[in-house]
Amino acid sequence: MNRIAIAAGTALFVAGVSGPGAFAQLEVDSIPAEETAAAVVDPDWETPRTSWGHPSLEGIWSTDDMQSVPRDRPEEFGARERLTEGEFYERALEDAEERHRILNEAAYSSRSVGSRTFGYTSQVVDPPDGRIPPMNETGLARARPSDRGTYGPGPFDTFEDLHLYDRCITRGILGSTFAVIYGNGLRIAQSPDAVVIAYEMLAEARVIRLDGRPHAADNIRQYLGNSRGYWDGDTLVVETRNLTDKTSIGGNGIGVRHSEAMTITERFTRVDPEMIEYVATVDDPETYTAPWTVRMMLTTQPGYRIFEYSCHEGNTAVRSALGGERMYERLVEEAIANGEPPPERLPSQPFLDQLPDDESVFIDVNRGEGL
Amino acid sequence: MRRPALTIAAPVIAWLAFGGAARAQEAAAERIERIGGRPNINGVWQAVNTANWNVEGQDAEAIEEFWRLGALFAAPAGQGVVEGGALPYLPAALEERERNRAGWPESDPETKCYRTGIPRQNYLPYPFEIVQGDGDILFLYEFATSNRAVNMGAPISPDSVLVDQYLGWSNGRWDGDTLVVEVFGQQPSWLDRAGNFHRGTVTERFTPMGEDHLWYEATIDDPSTFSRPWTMSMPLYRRVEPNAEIFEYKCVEFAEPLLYGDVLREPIE
Repeated sequence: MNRIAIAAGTALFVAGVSGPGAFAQLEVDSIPAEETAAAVVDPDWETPRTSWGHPSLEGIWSTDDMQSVPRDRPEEFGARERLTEGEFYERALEDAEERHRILNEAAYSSRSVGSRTFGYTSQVVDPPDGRIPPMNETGLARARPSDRGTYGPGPFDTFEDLHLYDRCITRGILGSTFAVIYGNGLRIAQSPDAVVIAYEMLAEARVIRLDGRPHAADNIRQYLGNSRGYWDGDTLVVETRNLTDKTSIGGNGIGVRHSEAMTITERFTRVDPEMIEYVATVDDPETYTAPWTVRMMLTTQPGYRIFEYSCHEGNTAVRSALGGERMYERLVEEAIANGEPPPERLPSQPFLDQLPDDESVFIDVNRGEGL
Repeated sequence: MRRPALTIAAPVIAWLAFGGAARAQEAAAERIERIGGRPNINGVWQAVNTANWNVEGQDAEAIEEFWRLGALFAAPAGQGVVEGGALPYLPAALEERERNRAGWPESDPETKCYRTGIPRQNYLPYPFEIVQGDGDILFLYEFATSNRAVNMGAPISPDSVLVDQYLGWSNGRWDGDTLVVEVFGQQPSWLDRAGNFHRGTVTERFTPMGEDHLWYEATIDDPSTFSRPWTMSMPLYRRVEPNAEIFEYKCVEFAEPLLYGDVLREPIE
């Protein structure tokens, strides 16, 4: 990682930050992390290999370092893919401040942070403006209110009015990879015939078969599709099809509802002992006006450990949302019976609009207090 | 009827699509026998027995409340998998087993699409895949699309993880050609649909018996439930069809009417 490179001789910016009644020194990355990758700085660097000779992708990775890289490029950058030195310093300082706040000041670690700052202006690398192309008409016609999750307007009449993520069912492939508030880990396991990606949140796993067999028959449809892969030099290329039209594209799978015709082509390239460059191309002519490509860096994080994400076993969201809606219906009936105006139906998560910076709010919410 | 004809035809089509016997032989020839000096146990495996119905064995029996399903869903007859026959329950634990049994199916974690714990996860009526490389070994279960990593590095201690998991924490090591997995830190788990349960530690042994079979043993040590440690054992069979793979069995969707039926706009009775 770049801080090791920094210790080896490159410059390290040190900035001061005043915390609550204290003054701390922050370590701020001086050069974009992608420029420190072994494959970039060392022409003789060789991809680590498994005992049977395949490039090794094995390990526990995370997209936490992508939290400060916007998915869609802000328009002012135009076609420019890298930040300037000044822009990078600004981002690196923000990253360092956020890291300091979460690790040293927050009362409760409610979100995860990365440990490196990358200098990309966006995660989307194609089209050249770095922005996911607009939806076409067939795509727009497919959108559902539940695609927005419990942030959506409801009403919650049945569990199917909640998002697949709220129901602990799936986030889809890209929804499992985009960095979100926490749980951005993924484990890659390899055998001679397969590569497995096991995502931390929702604990979904995909098996990418390398033995040359065709995709499953067309009538087999899965949330994470059916994946086949091959090695293109040291890059793992994965082609996925057999998808459903029930998942959406965005963080946690909340966003644009795609079609069954979507295919995803992913490329995994180990560029450093601690970094994999992950590039995914989404092709869905029934949803988007053009194919598009996103790049995310999968990196190691110090001491990162994946716990069993027992989402469904601990799910209280579905019962709470449905139960809350039923309660509201009873209140409306009572008001009408009493000749009173019906009560206002509040948004499902009103506290999200008023969230102060104080982390203690998260503690209250997590304990079910204040709701 | 169309359906039986399709059932017969599907494997043949798959076989042809795969390139037939020649391709399968080629794949078998390419197969690496050992990885890092250990047997290569990669593959899709499945138990073929009635342990998930009752680890102690049972007669065939109708399930009264499923009468609409006729012969589709009744308990099949099968022999037990427990060495020595009956489970050595302590008296209070035996009462708990009887309460569990009386509460089936609603109270069974399998019904709710909860991870069913170790060892049960290995003999559910769904395949699972072992992914073995140079590092940790991953078990991917079709049921509830769940997985567990068997740590092959320095053992994880209970002090270092602090929390229990539905599939516990697994430390693995090789004893000759046998993969030995020590599992601790599980939530209390049911062993079958008959309400048998444990809340102890499990020592699993996976021993290759030729290329397509593993002998599976699980020893359960739980002094709060049983008067002595006991062992179950069974073969696991490789799914040898050339297109074998595990698919999504995201059973949350199947359990939601049961779990949330009372808070729907139109409640399910």
